[in-house]
Amino acid sequence: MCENRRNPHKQDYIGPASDNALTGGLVVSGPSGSRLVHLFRRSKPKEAMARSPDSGPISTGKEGRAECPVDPSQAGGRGLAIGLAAALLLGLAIRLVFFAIQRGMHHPDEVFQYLEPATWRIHGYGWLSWEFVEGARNWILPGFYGALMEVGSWAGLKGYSLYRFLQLHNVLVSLVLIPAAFRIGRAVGGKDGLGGLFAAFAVALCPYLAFFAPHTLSESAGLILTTWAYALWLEEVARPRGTGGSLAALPVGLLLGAAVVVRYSLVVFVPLVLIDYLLRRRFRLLGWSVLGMACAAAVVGLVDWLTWGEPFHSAMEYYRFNVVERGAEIYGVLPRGYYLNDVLIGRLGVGAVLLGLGMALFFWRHWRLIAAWVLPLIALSLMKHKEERFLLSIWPFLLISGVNGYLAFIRWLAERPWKHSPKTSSSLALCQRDSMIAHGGQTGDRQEEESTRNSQRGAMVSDSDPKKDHEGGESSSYLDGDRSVWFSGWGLRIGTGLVGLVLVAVLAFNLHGTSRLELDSFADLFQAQAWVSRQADATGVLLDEPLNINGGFTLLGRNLPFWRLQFDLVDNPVFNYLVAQQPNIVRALRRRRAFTELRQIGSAIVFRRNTGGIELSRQPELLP
Amino acid sequence: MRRIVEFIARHPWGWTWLYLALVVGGLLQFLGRRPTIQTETYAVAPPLPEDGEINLASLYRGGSVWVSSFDTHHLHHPLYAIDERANPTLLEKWATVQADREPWIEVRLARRADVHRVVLALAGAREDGVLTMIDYDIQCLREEQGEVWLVRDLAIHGNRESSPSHPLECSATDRVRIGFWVAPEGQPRDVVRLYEIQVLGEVVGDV
Repeated sequence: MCENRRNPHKQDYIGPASDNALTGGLVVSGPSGSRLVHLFRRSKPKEAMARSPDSGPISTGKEGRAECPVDPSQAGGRGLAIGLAAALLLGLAIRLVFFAIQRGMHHPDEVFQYLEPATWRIHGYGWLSWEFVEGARNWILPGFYGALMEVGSWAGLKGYSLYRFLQLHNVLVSLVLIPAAFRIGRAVGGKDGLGGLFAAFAVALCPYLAFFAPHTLSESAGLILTTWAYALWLEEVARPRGTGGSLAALPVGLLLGAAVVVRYSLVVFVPLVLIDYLLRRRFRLLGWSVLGMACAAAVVGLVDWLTWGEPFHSAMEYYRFNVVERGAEIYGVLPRGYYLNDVLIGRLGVGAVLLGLGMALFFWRHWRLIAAWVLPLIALSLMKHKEERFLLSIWPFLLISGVNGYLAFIRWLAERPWKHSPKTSSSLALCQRDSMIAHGGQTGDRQEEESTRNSQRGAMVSDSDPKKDHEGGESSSYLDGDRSVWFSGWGLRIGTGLVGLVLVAVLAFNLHGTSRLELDSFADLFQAQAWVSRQADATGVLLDEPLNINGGFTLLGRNLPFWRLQFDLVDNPVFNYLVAQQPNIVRALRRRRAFTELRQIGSAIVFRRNTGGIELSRQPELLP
Repeated sequence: MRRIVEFIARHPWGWTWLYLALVVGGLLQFLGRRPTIQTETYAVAPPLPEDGEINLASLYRGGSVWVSSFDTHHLHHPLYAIDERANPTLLEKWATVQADREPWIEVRLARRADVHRVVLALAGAREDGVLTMIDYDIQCLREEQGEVWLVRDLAIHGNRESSPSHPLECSATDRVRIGFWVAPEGQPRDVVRLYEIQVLGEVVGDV
């Protein structure tokens, strides 16, 4: 026999939600039990097998379902699957748009911290940044991208085409955020999965997340790992105690550990999970999660030992440079409020207010999700060197916590007892005649009678208190007397629709904020560099950018010497191609007869040397 | 193959397994890489025959270089060693990395030649003379039927010249390889610094 279980969200769970899915139902809890409200159409009562953690499948009889605490990860159905599929498709579409627009890079790190070391390892040439000279980075992410570069090479990809292949790969992989968001939303938002759907759409359609999806940054990889880690953690939190095993915390620890491995600063996401386990006195879960993190740490220790000659060398160098010496401050210092003001409010605009209001509603129901973004925000704000991308991992939690608050409000309205209105719509607020567990025919018959009477009223049908059922007592109808739920079908529909509008508004404001990012930065330089690499007679190229701000050997795809354009190198015939962007340099080169202007690619102009060249082994033709 | 395709299509995690298999395969290939650093060959080979001594190492005469390492952080590219630059900047030299404890450079000629001399422009030509390599080994090599034969070997010890010229008299040579002895890390000459290498000789045939 199922019994209500105490759970942190103080919500009862309902049985299998397959009927919910068919009818798009919203589960609301009343003082005497939970009931299902269908948003779309009436569902015919059907026999359903309820699952009880105590006694296994239980037949509900002719109608109704068993009210049993259910693992939220089990709630699902065709409607949810269709919604999730739609979120995935839309998420893919918006990501492909950003992929198509962004032909350059957002930050040089995405080339020189991960791709260029991989190129060096594969080919023996590549511009290695100081981090890979001093050992302040581990080789895990470069190794991963190196593996992908090998896969791309099997298809004959190199240079710019290989670079775009890696970006497209990241776009596709970023879609796994959407089911993770769904699971978070379902875990914190309610058993019916609607919170999950809203969360999935929020993350799928968030322009800011779509902007960062293609980039080969450690933040992009860390975003996926932290989101999935928190999804599994929050599902376990929502699960009634006694269901599921302690082993569920192992993947949480593994994912969090992996996130820290790819980006050490993501350690700020670890404490919340561990403290939560401690506060709930779930010591076995704590142990398994720590074990998972230890496994991830062991991997980086081993990789560092093999590559740098000392276990955890990169972690120690990172700590020494960033924490002890504060060396990162040479790259810029920003005020403490930068992340809140310039990033969150700057990219969300009025949407930040909407999200904040949503979070404030019933914050105690999703305080963990709020803490999931507030704590890292505070921690990262304390570091003087700030970059917008450092905060990427908090965005799913930010969005979902805001949306979830509104949904919780809608449910609260639906749960309030109101005077019965005879004109309450019955055509839409068609409730499934849920009942308590039909363990006795008498009880079941009484429930049947209540349900019929209430349906005729066009009112909500209540479920009886399962506890009373368990005790064999009479069922207590929520509709005893003249009470009934006023905020019924249409109200729920409108409320849910309003939440959808809020989400659309937030995403629209975010689109505006995201559009102020440089969408196509360095694209001209990349295109020019790639074009030069395709020329058979190219022996070297000078670029009108610092060494760490171009596509590197990765983009060249050849062992061509390159350097920053400076005039003491211009006379070296090895550098027979020059790419200039600054107007004064362009003018100076145009004045020199030794160079011919070949091609203009946006703001980048490609010059080729006329004299001092070489007699080529094959006739050069300007390749497109 | 058909069974694999069916598995991927039917199994709920089929595509994930395919992805993981590709990544693992790529990773294995990546880990197994032992790249040899070489430059491209850009120019046509010099015509046959050509009177007098010419610099066969030059990239303008089809020369290319293979090296054990080069300083990628400072981009001391090996191509600088055969660019025939008269007054190079401090950048325009080939330099190795400290981790390379057995550095070498191998010039591959576009044509088989009788090598008369090898001239080097070492660190002292542009920088502090204490950085000039003092011990190295010059080998003339010939490739025949897939095998590489040693034509002549000349060991140099205690060199003090910044731009030494070493007479060799190697006949029918395809490659000239120089292996250096470096000092322990942290000391001068712990890396090789070479501004130019010239292989002077006469073309005798095709490689």
